[in-house]
Amino acid sequence: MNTATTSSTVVNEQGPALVGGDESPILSVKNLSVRFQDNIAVNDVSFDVSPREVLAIVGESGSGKSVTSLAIMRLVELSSSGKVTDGTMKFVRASGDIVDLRTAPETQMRTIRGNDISMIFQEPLTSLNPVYSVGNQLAEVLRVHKGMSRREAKKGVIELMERVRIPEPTRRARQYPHQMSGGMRQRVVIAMALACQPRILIADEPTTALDVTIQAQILALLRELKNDLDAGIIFITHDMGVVAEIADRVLVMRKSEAIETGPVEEIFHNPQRPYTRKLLSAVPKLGSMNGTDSPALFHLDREEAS
Amino acid sequence: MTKILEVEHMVKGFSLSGGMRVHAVEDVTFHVDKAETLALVGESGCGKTTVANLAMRLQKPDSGTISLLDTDITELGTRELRAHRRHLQMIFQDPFASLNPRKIVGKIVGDPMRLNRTASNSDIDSRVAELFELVGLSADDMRKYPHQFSGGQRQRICIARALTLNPSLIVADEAVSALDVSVRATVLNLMIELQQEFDLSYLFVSHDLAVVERIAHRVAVMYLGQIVEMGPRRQVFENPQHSYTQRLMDAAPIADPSQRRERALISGEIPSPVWPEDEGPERVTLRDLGDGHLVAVE
Repeated sequence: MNTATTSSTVVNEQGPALVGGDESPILSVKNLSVRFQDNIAVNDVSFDVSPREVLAIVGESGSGKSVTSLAIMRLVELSSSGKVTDGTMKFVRASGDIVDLRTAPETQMRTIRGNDISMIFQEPLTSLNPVYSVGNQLAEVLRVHKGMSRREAKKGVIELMERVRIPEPTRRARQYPHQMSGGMRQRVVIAMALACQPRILIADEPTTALDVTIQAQILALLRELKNDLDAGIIFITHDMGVVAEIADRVLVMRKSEAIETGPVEEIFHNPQRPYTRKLLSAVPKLGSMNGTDSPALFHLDREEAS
Repeated sequence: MTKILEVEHMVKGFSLSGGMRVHAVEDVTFHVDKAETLALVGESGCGKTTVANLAMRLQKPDSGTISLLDTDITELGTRELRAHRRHLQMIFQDPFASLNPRKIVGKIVGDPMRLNRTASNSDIDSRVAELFELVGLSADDMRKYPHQFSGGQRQRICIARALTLNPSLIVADEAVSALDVSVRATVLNLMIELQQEFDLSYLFVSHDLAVVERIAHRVAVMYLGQIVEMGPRRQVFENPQHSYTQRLMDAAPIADPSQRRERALISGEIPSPVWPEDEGPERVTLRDLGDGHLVAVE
């Protein structure tokens, strides 16, 4: 049995985050482990998220970054084989109550999901219902979670859409998801996630399916909104370029373990672990070829046996 | 310089219902030299994949000419094309979709030789083994099925298949976009090394500017079906002249937090390439800035 617990070489808790981390964390995950039957998906992972802080969880396919976020929402147990086997996830609710997301009763989780912790995904089309107009779907969120009347919700929808910078919100609200571009759809999903003013927004590869110019807009939007809401963002991605753009702190995951964590400048400019160095050596940095005419090979950092 | 591929005034549109038409490729002219990588960059819907498909002659242009090794292949039928297709191979984005799951990979890589009857059966096996070694796999892997490989290994198999007939030009449509960071770097390295070894030419279609910067000799920026800027990679990247190229460069993330930029919160979208049947976009005029650096007059 490998229910790895406390002994850990993970470099966490390198002191408070440089940006937005001068306040006590909203979410504090300690020694989180998740298994799917005999497979360890997350092994002894710890991190904090503070208000207005963006924590990027990076790693390659299968490193456990998405499962970590599902564990926070307690969604791994929806699949019969998944189980959080160890750890605590202390979450400070808007009311000031502290809840351990690992042990909270399902009825309480239902009031946390979508209200206090929201999630957005890579493909906005799968998060939206194709047979309802986007205005209708946004209104539903406001009515269910905020108890608004139909009339209030209608007004709230326009405000939300303006907030995520959807042009012509009145006309757009009547449209169906398929009538919108990928960028607009992602704005709708973000509007939906923000409707309840969450404390934590989990964004799982939210810009991966988008074009670069649209991606830049969505990143700027997320940055602005988290400051307005005093929310923390857990940003899951494999794209180190995006990490460099948006993250305050970075958690590098590999084969279900947290390899390294620290402020974004530290991770990029002074990585401690061989794996982090190897990962970064494989990332093309725009502008690094200035002054040269020909293609160039990546000088890949070889990782020592770990 | 020998021109491997030459495309002149290529136009391709697709009719929609209601008398509308997508102007996917609108008067595109470019060439690819021997041992050169020309990257086609642009955002979704700019027509870069259509250009790649037309260059492969998987589709026929509405007008314009496509020449491969000084032969006009624009009007060739399926049978005549086959002889020319040997010089022209393709690598696709998704290595999970581009390999037949029911064939062993050795057969997949050898099939181009069988189809073109370029080698005897015994020669095929030794050639396939050689190709496997060349792309960094082992000859023992030949008996395995695609599902037994990782994404990066599969893309290597696709590259081996593309190399089977010693092509002059490989069209790579987002060939590394689906791969993990470290795998992507090794596959790009392989492509660069193969180019140097065999004087291969690449038409490299990608939306990822940082990747393009690594692999391209020249870059063509597409916007709404037209090339708005084209030239040596160094000029286009270090001194972009067209406003769209500049916007693209500004938006591209840089993998260095110390170069983080504040961005204006705009919500602009690319206009639609769909027009009523009798209308169309205004065609751009390219101005030559020297050194083959062309930019559309704005």
